[in-house]
Amino acid sequence: MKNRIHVLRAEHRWTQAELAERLNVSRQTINAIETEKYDPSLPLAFSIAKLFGKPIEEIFVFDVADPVSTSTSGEPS
Amino acid sequence: MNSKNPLTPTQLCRRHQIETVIGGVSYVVVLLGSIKLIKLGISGPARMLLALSPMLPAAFMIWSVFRYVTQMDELQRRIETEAFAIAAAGTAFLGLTYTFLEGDTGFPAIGSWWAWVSVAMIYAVARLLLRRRYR
Repeated sequence: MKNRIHVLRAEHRWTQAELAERLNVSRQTINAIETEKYDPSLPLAFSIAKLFGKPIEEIFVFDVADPVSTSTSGEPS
Repeated sequence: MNSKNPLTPTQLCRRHQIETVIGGVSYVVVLLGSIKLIKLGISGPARMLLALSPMLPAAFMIWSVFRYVTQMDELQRRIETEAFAIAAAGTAFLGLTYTFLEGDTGFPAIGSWWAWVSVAMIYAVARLLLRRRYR
């Protein structure tokens, strides 16, 4: 899953440690999310979205082929 | 994320470290005391209670670990859980391997204490590698 946390954090001029403190997580967690080595839980993703004042889909982008949409998009022939 | 906990990840870690030191020192003190008293020749149920007494500080340390893991940051918890799963699987593998050696090739029987040593050592290595992966 891709995300824009690095960009949003830069806009707010926060360090990883400052963002981590606001979310009550470790700096390593912020770094792992920014470098896309770790996908946050849904509650943490919502907290991030709330902190930046943006809808969750503007921050996180699901970049893998979505099995739900592909399975329901095909019309019966 | 851990919104229910007022402590920061750093504070949680420090509290756990303090509790580990307290638990470890208590364990050594109680263990040495119980050995000394048992050697005095105490018998009966008191002897059994004395022999088991080091488990009190051990239980405190287990409670401390459990509390720390349940309250820690979600990525840290994932690392700890994965490291423990690897340690458990590795120890099961080593244990089974040694059981075959004991039965078929005459290797000496070893105490169950070594299972704990195996878990601790594999856990430490796995945790180190997993932390690097998410760095």
